[in-house]
Amino acid sequence: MSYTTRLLCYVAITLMTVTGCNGTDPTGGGDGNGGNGNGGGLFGGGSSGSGEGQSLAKHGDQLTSDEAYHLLRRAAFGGTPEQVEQVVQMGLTAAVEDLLEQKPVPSEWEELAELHEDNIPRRWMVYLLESPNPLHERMALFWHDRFATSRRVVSGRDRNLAVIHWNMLRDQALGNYRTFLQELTIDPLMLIWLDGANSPKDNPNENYAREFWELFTLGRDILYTEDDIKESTKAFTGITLLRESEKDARPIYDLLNHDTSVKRILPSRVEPGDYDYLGMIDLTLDQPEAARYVARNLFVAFVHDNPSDAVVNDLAQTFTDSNFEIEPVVRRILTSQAMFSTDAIGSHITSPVEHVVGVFRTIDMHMHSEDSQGYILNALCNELARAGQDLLNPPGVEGWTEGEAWLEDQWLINRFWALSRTMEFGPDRTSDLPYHMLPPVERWAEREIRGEIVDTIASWFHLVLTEEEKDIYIEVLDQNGWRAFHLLEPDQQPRHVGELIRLIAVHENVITN
Amino acid sequence: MKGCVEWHKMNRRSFIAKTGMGVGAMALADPFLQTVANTYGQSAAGSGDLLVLCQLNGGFDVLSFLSPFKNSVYQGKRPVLALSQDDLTVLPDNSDFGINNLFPIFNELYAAGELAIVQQVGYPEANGSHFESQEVFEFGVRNLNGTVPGKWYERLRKTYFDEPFGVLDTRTIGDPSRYGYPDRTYHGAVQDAFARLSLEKQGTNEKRQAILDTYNRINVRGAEIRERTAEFESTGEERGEFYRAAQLAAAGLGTQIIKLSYGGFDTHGSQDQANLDLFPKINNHFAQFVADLKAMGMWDRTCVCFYSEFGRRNEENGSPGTDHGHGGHMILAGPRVNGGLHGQAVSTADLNEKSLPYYVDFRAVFASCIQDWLGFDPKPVFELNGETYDTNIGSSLFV
Repeated sequence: MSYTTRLLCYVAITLMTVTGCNGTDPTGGGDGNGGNGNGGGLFGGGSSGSGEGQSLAKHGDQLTSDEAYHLLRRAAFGGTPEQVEQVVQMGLTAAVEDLLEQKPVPSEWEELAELHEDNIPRRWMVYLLESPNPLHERMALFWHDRFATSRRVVSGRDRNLAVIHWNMLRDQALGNYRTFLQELTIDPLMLIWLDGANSPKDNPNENYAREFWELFTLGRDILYTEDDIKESTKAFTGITLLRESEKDARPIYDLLNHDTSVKRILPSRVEPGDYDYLGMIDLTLDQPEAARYVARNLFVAFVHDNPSDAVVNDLAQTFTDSNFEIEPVVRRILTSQAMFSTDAIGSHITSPVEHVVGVFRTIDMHMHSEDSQGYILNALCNELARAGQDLLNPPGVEGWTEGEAWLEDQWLINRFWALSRTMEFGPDRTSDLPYHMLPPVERWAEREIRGEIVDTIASWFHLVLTEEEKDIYIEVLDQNGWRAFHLLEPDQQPRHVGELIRLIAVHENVITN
Repeated sequence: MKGCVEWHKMNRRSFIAKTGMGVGAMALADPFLQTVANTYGQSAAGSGDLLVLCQLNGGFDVLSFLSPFKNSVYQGKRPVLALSQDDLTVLPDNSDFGINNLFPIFNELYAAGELAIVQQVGYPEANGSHFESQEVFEFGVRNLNGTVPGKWYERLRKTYFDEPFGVLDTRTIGDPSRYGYPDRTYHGAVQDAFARLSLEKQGTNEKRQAILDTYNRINVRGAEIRERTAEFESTGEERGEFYRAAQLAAAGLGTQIIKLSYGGFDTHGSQDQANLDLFPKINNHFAQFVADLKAMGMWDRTCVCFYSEFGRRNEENGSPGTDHGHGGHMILAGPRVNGGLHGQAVSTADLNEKSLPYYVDFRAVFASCIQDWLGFDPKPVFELNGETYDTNIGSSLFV
């Protein structure tokens, strides 16, 4: 790599990275002008009129079981019937605080994850399935899709840069957005992925500057022109990567390669000046469009696709009032009436990872055995990659296309395969099936058990089945009438129940939430 | 795996049951006979030929494909990346240009008169965003805020040959042998339940219905796609998107358009190194496709169109790579294309610009494929909502 040699001749100053910025503003700031839109029923509890789809007013604290499951699916991928009941008991406010509180991850999982070294899909999957902080993982996944970066640009020793990037995402996911952008801009993997490490003043590279606005902070064609991109590219010049043997590449600021000229960036809004990358982040966040962009994205990720301008502005206000802390915005969204409105319920098409992790968390699946931690985990990650979502390897700089784009035929088909990779279940670590959540096996020879099994599985996913649907599911247990389930040999029954769970797990109301 | 064996057994059974067809009826020697029959059964016009659309995502650097290697401005702007005469094969009919030797099959086809290169193609008010520009190429119109009813080739299908296999996207189908619900129970109980549920249920909102629609499509098409692609044998070992395309072409499903895409062309940095992997990959996958279609006797009725959302900057950056540009070339390959250079050759004036300009609207090239190759009128497809474009190319792309 030519830039390492070039560096030797130049003054290089190690970049100071800002750390520990969060925690100074712990309030749920910006609640002041909260109740916009129709202020209907602050204590409305369960029922939701469609008008509440645009209301950030606080939802009643008492949740129904269905609402509790909805909250867990959106904020924590899924939850067992037991966890759903806990949320109902706690009430909304306490449940959301519990989700936001970062708990220590049992060392068993930390160690297992580390065993997978730079294989991020497997390493991340350990946390996605087992971490007591699912909301933090959910948020890291959200930012990964926004700040999409791929491990496919690094090889050999540099593969560890993917681990550094992944840790950065997870550390910042509910922290301060300004700090996040500062870390992101000098993240080694990002510096390689969008060529920020190779943008000297004499020959600047526009890649990072363009995507910084288009994808990370403002949105496509918001405020900026092609001329602005050329000017802002100058502000980002001078960052490069220092490579020393036996150490990970680290970002340095190469002063001689930083363009110190006066830049005219967004000239109708911003005074010309000698901006560097920190100045670029600050001047971007000074634009109200930036807070709105994040507010809209967060609302869409958790609630529904069509927030009103009032909702976006209101959330953006919360964001700027808290000096760009992410947590207060997430707290407000999760406790809002909109979150539980009819506009929200069922409006989100899950990604393959969200879907499969959500199902596994719902059916209390864990990875204690050697097989689970080895070849099953590997197979699961491969199936998810074939289902369209290979973690830390998105298709392009824009991340994954969300929503209906997930419904490519082959991608859905590969979800079916991913769902067949089962591990152990529940506290007893049973193999094959979550027996602790099913009617007791001693009763499986009874004729009525078939309907009970179908009803039980449907209840885990909070599905309401019609009689016709239920009959079709019973026929799965009965193998289309070839052999009735209750008359089957006991060793054949688990396979049919397993197939039934998988078929119910691909119900359109489970793929959406 | 035990489950897989049972699943394959089920495919056959349910396929025959659903289509009411014996295996013999499918075993037409020439898949294209089937195509033509199906097509004429559905619509009154159309040639029945096959159009393959290969989208190169990220912004294809056409100056690294067809190089104006003698031009001093080109050499000056690209001290590292410019190709020299050793890197390319000079065109037999124009000694100012040469095709990169990393693309031997393209050189071969050009020499045989089976490659048409439409130079400096684009669209008005080019956008430097990948996504915006890809959308423009996919929809064939500028962003009309969601009012466009589908991608242009889907609109074409709906207008002229409205049948399920008319347009196939390799990305949608994936591995055809996996195309269906993977049943591991005896007697296909789960597969049957999956099919019945998808058919009999109504989604409670549009998104849920969209999932059921996909499930139905998988059920209706699944057995046929699996059956008809099972026997395919390629002439080579490559297993990329072009392999999938050949598999689907061979299946004789009445397909008129196969869409595929390759990524990795957004070469802002280390472009010379990146191209050493990327170009041979495209070349080898495509070469195998040509060989496969020749082996099946289908190449005569095939046209492959390569395109990208934009070209790249004329001047290299320090990385060394190239940033997003505007105009690019579209490449048509096939025995009945009008081989040679079309559009405006890249001039010194063009190279003095930051990016290559465009002289031919990309829709004119697609329109020619629709009219002169597939035999349909392109007007309803591209002249949508009163939008117009310059239809002039200056020469005929097909013979």
